[in-house]
Amino acid sequence: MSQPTSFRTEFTIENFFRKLKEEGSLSAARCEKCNFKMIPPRPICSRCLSCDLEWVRVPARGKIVSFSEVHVSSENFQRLLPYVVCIASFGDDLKIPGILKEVKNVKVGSEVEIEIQPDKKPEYVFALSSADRV
Amino acid sequence: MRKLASIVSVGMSKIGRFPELNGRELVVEAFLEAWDGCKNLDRKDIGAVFVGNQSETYEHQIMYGSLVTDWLGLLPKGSMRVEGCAAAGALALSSGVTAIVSGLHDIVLVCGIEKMSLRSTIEITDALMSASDLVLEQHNGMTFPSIYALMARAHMSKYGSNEDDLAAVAVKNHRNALDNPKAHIRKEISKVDVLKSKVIASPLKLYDCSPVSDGAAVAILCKTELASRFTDSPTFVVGMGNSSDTIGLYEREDISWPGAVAQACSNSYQMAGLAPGDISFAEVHDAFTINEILHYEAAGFAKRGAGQESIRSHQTDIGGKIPVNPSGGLKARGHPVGATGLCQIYEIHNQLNRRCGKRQISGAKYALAINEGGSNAIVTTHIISN
Repeated sequence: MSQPTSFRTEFTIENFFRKLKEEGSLSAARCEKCNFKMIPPRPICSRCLSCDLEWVRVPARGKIVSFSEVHVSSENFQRLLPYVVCIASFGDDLKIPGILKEVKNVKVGSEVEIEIQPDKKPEYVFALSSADRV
Repeated sequence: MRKLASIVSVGMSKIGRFPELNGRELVVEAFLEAWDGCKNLDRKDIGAVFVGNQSETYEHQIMYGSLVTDWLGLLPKGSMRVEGCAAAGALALSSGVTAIVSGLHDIVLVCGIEKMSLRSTIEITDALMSASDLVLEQHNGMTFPSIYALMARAHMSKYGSNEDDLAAVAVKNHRNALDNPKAHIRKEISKVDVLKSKVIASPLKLYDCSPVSDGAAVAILCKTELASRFTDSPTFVVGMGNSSDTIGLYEREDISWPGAVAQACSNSYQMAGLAPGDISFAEVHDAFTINEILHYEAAGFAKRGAGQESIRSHQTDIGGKIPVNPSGGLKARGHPVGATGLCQIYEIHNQLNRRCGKRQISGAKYALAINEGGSNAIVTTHIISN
């Protein structure tokens, strides 16, 4: 048996951020065998170990699963205080954490949209959808 | 029931903020208590040293294995530092038990240490964030209080728990620590004090969060057949479990369910041949008040989604059906991160030997310790008997 050649994958975290900048959206890796979705992408499916993966675009709208208004943080985030972090679900099978642009009128179940900000950190934020803005 | 290993002596430094002491000196303080409580032990017979420690950020010091072995006069015995954020202490214990069960060593020293208070709140917040997912959590400003706040809000929204329930956990644990002379915070607080304290990451407030503490704890373990040589009052590790979950909270199917805690508890119960109802009391990982409620559920003391009922009905008070955190927990005894898992064992060993004065739990026979790191992402549980 010959030794395996060096490991190559396009499903890297670097490519996740490159696609974010180039395509203006978030992408996940979907396993073609078991349909498991991973964000950021991983080189193999962590549910079934398959290497048969494809890029899928994350839907533009999601719903807040939980949120918290942060008042104490690390050095890198002092300028944003207070800010709201949340986990939002995009369909039944993908949840993504992020900072919400707004601080007021946030509720579990509120609809959010992803906003890409390619030249800033963090590279994306969530914004309450207009229907959920008061 | 198999006795995997015996705990023959324990020691713990006072927990608090000690600007005048280095981490290694806190280890010495803890060790001397354990050493004094152990007769006929020749230090040459200690086969290995396992040290739990979270972060080099605080003291700019790794290599705690070598440091502790040297400062306790145990050179040239083998040593290692084990790490799993706040689970490091129990991981050191598990490593020691495993070394004994394997037959590699007859006697080992396990230790946990953290010296945190040299750093500012901003720096400590950052050091703790390294236990979350780098790519999507740390880069999105998710502090540890906010990660537990996300669990809390999800639990509240799904099951109807509320901020009063969280406050009740803090009130209980502060009350328990009043009678613990080594606790970091010995101050009675009311629900109103908790609810009116500064918001750290809503819905969690200052009094929902464990303090930043310095401290160390040690235990001397041996194979069970040898225990009577060293003490008349050994306790025994009769079950242990270790389970992992995703490092990112967001990657879990249900963010209000600590699946790895439930798995590790289940493993320990199975190994010991015990059920939740057999446990006399527990020390659980209340780094944030919500986590104590989640641990009631995962340990099987309450049904899934009903943890808040246990605190409302005072079942987890000392004198209740299943007392939890008689030491005061991380909340009030204090949370020197890498030491916490062994601080729990210090309380359990003393409770099982009826040495806890006013906070003594009568008739205690089996105790459960739940120690976890990250967002319940590495969980180590032990069941100890007398």
